[in-house]
Amino acid sequence: MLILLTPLSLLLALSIGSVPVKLSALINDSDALGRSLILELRLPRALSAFAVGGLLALAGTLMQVLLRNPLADPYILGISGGAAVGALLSMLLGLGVGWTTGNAFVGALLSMLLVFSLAHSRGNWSAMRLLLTGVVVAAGWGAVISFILAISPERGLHGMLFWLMGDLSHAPPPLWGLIITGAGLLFCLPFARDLNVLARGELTAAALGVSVQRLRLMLYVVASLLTATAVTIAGSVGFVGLVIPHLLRLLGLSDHRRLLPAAMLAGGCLLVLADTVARSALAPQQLPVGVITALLGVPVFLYLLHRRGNHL
Amino acid sequence: MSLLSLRPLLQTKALTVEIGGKTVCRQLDMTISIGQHWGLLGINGIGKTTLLHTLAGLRTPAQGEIRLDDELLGTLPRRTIAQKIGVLLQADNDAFPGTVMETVLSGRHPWLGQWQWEGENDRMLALAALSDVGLEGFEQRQVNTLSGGERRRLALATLLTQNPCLFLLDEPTNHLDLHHQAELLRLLGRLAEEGIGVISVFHDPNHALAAGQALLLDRGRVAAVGGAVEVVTGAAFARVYAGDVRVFVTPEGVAVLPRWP
Repeated sequence: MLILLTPLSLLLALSIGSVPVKLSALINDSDALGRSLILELRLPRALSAFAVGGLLALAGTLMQVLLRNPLADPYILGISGGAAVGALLSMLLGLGVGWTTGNAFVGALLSMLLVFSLAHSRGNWSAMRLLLTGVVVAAGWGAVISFILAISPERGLHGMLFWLMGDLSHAPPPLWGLIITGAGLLFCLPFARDLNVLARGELTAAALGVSVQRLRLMLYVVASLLTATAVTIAGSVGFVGLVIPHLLRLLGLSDHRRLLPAAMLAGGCLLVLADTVARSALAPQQLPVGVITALLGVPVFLYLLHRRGNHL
Repeated sequence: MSLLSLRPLLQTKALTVEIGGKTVCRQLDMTISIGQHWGLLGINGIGKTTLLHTLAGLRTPAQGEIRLDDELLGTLPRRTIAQKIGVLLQADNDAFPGTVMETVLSGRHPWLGQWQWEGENDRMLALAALSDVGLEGFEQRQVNTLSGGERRRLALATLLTQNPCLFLLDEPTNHLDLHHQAELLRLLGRLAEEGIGVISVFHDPNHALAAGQALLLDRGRVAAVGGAVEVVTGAAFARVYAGDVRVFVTPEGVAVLPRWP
């Protein structure tokens, strides 16, 4: 079903926008403007949205298993915070879009290394230790972000806020994002059954023949790189990484061999749809896509939490 | 007993196990052969679980060596160990519960290749294991809707599906009613007869009597080891339980009763 939903959501994204253009423009030579609008503006943006959504949902699924915590999302270990500090500093210094993107990636990697070395310093990095280290580092980044916002001149604030809420209007060409999404999924699929076992506990997994430390290190690196890529493309888009894995689990997908590809597709679709709403709901004004995912995500998540409460 | 049934599965040589600066046992030499069921006894916090995890290769010993089928345990890949040793942990975590069938099938994990999915044979093993523990018909139930005793039996079924030659069980009788305790001990007895080795942590010495062999831990050392009847009727046993138990030797067998106030 998700495989059907993906082209549908992309088609929808191509046909809806602030300027009414018919999809028939693609085959109709007389409508060159309409064609270039679709192929040069909407298509790359929709593909970027798909990649970001896929990356975040995939990273969220991996993080939840790594931390064995259903409330984990791709940002919980401070990767988006590090990226935000890199991006906002570039904006504060008036550097261009290229620098903002590059520094966001550097910030994400720095944060990833920082959390890992702090959590790993004594050789023993339990899920709890990693979680606490990541959450505290994320809080630190949060303070730095507030500081940068406080000292920024007013005219720069709008762009910064858009970046923080997640926004696809400055997304780089989608090719790399799509490649990394696909590569991430292909890399994780052979380990999907190990993830099933790890989700049942580290000792259980070790007793069933999983090299737990190696798997966790791999999960941490892969999930962090996927998140870093997503944040670099679109800023910190919220809730996709948290809600999509839960939504699919509630639909009965607990086997990661199915859950991982499903999460990638569902996350991609959600973000494509959310971005379509973001750029057309109040057209010509564009909304940051993170606002739409959060607006969709909050009620869904509260509903899931409520249902879970009834289970326990 | 034939020579074959005395083939050693797991051997320790001068094994010293420590946890948090406390010694669990020192210079332990023991051999678990196929067909044997050992009961591991001792009061709370004495290190029964730690010793069990060390024997399973989940912890590294402070000193000494453990050999599994004559190979050093520490040098074997985790997957190979999991094909030979199955572990029943004291408690299960289910932050992400699945169905009973999915859980049982996870026992096949060490036997399947990286890209391989469970086949018909694996499913048959899983169904047989569920029926061995009286959970047939539970396949599609969510694990978090099971009772404590049912989860315990599910964990055992997972172990049966894993099909190792050595079972290391941490309090397998926990949460089980008297009927299911008896069923479990009978099942373990049958497994031992079929050529499997079992070590179980028990709180009830009667379970160790049913198992046949016993090892009694006491403050950093092995206080007694051997046939369960000898261990339970020995002086070390009386000392460890400090007069809280009475041991009855009857023509029908040995029984341990608590001395309530």
